[in-house]
Amino acid sequence: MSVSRRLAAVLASPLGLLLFVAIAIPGGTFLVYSFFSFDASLRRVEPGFSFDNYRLVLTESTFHTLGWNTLAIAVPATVASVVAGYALAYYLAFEARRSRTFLLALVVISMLASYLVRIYAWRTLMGERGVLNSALEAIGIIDEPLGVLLFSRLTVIVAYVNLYLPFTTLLIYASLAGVPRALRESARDLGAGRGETLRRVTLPLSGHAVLVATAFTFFLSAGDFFAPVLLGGTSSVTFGVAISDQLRSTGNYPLGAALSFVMLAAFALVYLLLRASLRAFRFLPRQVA
Amino acid sequence: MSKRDEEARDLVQRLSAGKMSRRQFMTRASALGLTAGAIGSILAACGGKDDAAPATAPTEPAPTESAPGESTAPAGTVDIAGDLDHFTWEGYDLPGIIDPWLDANGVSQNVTLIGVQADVEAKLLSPAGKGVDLTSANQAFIQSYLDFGIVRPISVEEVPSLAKLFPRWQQFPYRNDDGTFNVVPWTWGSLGLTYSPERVGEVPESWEIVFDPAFKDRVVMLDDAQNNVSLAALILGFNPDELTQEQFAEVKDFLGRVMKQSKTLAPSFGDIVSLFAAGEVDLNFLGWIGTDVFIEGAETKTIVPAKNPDGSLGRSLAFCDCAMIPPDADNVPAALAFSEQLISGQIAADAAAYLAAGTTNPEVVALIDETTRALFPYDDLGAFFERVALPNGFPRESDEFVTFDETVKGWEDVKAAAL
Repeated sequence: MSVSRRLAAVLASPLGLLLFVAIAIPGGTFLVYSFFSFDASLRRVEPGFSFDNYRLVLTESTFHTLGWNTLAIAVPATVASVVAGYALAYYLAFEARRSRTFLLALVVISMLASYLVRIYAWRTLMGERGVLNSALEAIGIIDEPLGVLLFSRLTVIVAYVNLYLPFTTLLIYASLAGVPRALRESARDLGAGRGETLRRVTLPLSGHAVLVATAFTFFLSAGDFFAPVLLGGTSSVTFGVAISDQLRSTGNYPLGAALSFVMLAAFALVYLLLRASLRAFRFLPRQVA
Repeated sequence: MSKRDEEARDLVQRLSAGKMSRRQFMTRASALGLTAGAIGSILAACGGKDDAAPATAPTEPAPTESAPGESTAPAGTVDIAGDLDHFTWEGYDLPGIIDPWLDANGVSQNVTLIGVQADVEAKLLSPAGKGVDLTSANQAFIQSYLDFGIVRPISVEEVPSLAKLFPRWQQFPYRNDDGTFNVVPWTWGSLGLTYSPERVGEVPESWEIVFDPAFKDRVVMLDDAQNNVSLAALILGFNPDELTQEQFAEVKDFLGRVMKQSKTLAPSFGDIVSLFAAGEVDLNFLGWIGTDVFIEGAETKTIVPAKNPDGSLGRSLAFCDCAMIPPDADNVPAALAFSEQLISGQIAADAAAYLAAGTTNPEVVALIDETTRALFPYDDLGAFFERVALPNGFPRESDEFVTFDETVKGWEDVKAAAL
């Protein structure tokens, strides 16, 4: 091993140790728990090895329904966040000139408010006596407040886009900022239009950022259980809510752990499918990710 | 010699022989019901290094008479100073109300908040629960906590005001046949139908109003499996403590119909207050009477409708939260003294006002402010509790009746069916 590689290993070791202690050990413990059973009468976790929890999660129709509902919220939220984030990042990287710093500052500032404040802000905006309904009534577009603006899947999706758009924008911007201008100009010189340059040059060079931003947004929105509770009404109960119920209300950690790892497996599957799709459309170089 | 006497003698012998620390002796002796005076005398006789909390405890006999407003707590005559590790709901630590008493007695209250009632068993059954001095138990969980062995019995000598409670709280699951109490029931309230008078108009006569098409998407439900199942069971004429699977199917169907009328599920009563104040909802199935007190900028009323949907006498639900001392508590004297404050004197009265709740001690009623006192019919609590049930809770395991875990699963089914 060269000196530089040894030095890199030494420098990385604290982070590696932190990740091992903070993620691998608890995650491994939780995985082991998912094979244990739960004694309901004594509220006690019984060590052992059984696939019963996984069998229950995979066969129970309620969990299927919650899983599909989770996708119905997380997929549109992810697509909207990544597409809008890409558009904004593209503008910031290639089109904005003097306004770039100001716009980037706005993106960063929008991340400073806490998660809860932003969730409750949506209630203020979208409620029946909220800002949007009041404005629409004031200008005569509606006679009565629109009740559908709040407590629906759409509200949760919009809130997620608001929450995660800054992250996707910054992730993709960091990648686009590294795309050499000469490559894009060469494509144009060779006769490619703006669309073809985007498709054949810019997107492939930023494909890994799109992959990471998509995975990041999907995992966070699919795993969340608070925004659906506060904004989603009765139509937004998700898989995360079921995990929360098992861990908090019943203390059934084995079943809660199994639900969590089924969700994690679904995330991994989504990631692999996404990566394969990006590669199939040549938006992701083979050597990346 | 009774079994208890034998155990007490064994404890003393083990302490004398140095096989047990003074702290262990205090804990075990308290669990056996030995008075603090006796414990102190034994410890003094045994001498040795003092590794325990002060041996004196609030177990003096109750004053024969106490004027209204005066605490019957023994604090001041005994040393209860030290840390009180209190695992309880937000607000149940009585900030501002109990502080003078804490300061006067040198008690430092270290509060850890409960998120859901199940947190209590999760904590006390784990190593993290060692050292919790005082916690909160909803009445529907007491039987389970007894089964789990996380309850330290309390004698009337230790918390004198227990002898004065309304008859409702002088019975199981609060009080045992031998006269000891499992918990100190101190705050209670009723749950029913909360409505907006401005939007609903006349007082709803029946629970049927939650199915009125005029209130489609104007209903809010609390996201609470056990209380929703219990309330629906009562409205349908069933006993929630002994709910059969057939009845449970009807309960789930009923809740599913309410869910279809509902705009949202609220994670807390605080959220429900916000929803009424924002004009988002007009009705709350499983409403809390405190909503009427705490709401600002709007008005709500919480009632027990006169009729169930089938025309029978309207039923509803109440709750009672109790102070509970775990067997492994470190500072039992302070926990006992604190518990006494919860059911006696002006502190108990102020706590009732602060929480918009009822008191369990008739002597405290006169000390409560008029608005809070008017929330409940103290003159005829017997009749009140005939319509408003205080369930003992779903069994944790049963082949005959619906269990606690089945209510959680059933509630998830109801929520999923609404998607």
